[in-house]
Amino acid sequence: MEVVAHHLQLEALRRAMQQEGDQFGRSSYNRYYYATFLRVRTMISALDAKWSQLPHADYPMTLRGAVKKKLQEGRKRALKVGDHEIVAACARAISAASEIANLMESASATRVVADYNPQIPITFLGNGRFSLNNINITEAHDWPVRADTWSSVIEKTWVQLGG
Amino acid sequence: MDKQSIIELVLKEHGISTSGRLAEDIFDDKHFYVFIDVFRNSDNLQVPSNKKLNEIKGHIADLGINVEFILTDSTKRSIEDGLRASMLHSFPENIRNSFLTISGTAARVWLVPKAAINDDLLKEINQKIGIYLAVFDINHFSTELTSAANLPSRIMCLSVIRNNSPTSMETIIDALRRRHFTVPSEDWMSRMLDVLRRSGMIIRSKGGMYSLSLAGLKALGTSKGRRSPDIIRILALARSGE
Repeated sequence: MEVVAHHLQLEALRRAMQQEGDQFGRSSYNRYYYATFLRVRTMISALDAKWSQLPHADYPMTLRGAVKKKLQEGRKRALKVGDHEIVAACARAISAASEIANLMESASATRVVADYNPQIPITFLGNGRFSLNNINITEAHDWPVRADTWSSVIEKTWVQLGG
Repeated sequence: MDKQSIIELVLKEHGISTSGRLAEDIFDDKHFYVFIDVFRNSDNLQVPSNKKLNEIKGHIADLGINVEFILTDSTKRSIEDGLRASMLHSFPENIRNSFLTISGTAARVWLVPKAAINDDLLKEINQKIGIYLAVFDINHFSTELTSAANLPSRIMCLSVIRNNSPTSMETIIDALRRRHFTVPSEDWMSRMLDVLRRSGMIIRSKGGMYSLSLAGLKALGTSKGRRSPDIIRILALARSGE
């Protein structure tokens, strides 16, 4: 999906002077968001299979609520057996969950602009970059990378807790 | 007055400037996204604060409009870019990527390692980060390594022993490796078992078989459902053909 997004990004730049430039540009934001969502979904489904059906708009709330709670329970268990490394890992995973929630909120809002607010145009910046409502495309390009980093933090902690 | 103008007016009254334009939600004409570029004051606190933004959100809600503030922090972003450049330049063999997050006054540097980072190197990395961040008046930070070696944790070892007890060291190693953990050597495992035994979590019987102690069982706790340790243990017993 990131490959598709990147392809659309490059195509938008190639067509910057034409009308389709705007459409390619917006579509690349959409695909970067989708790539981000897919990565987070893999992580969240591994935590609890029933969450694979969760609509994307519910992710931030679930990450700040149920996911955080599961990790806090794990942290408590690790404390009881004196496993300090895992206590630290749980604290790290809790911050990661909160960062993913923030990321998904801003990425999702940017996607809403891209898909449903055509009156807000893509701005070509002339340095091989463009932006949408002041969100630079390089930032969108980073979303899936961040999501992957923080999701792995949670997954690695989760397997250590033995489910 | 249309809803967008109302939102803009309220924001202006509170001295909040937006980044970019208001975005509509085509599925809900009372819902808008407002992008705001925040910055940090000399105490490293976010301006405008979340408290202030929540109050404004409340004022706007009283007028029947629901706004969602999307915060961007362009200053933080450029600090982050610079930090990444510095990390990749100074530690090209060991660091693949880095991110900076700031929540409240807590700054966190997330490092994605390329190769194992030992304590000495981590110290060196932390020094470099400290010098860099101090330029921007960020004097407290923590470093989070995002992927350590895939060694089984103490809690994981206990969990495997519980499922298979009484069990030999070989079975424990097998079970851990089946779960895709790295067990470096029998020596490593034997030291881990020693630590667990000395902390009173497991007992070793004469034939070299390991089981959880009562303290270990209590500490590990239990859970209901498909992943319940009772069920996993029954399945493990069935597999072993006893």
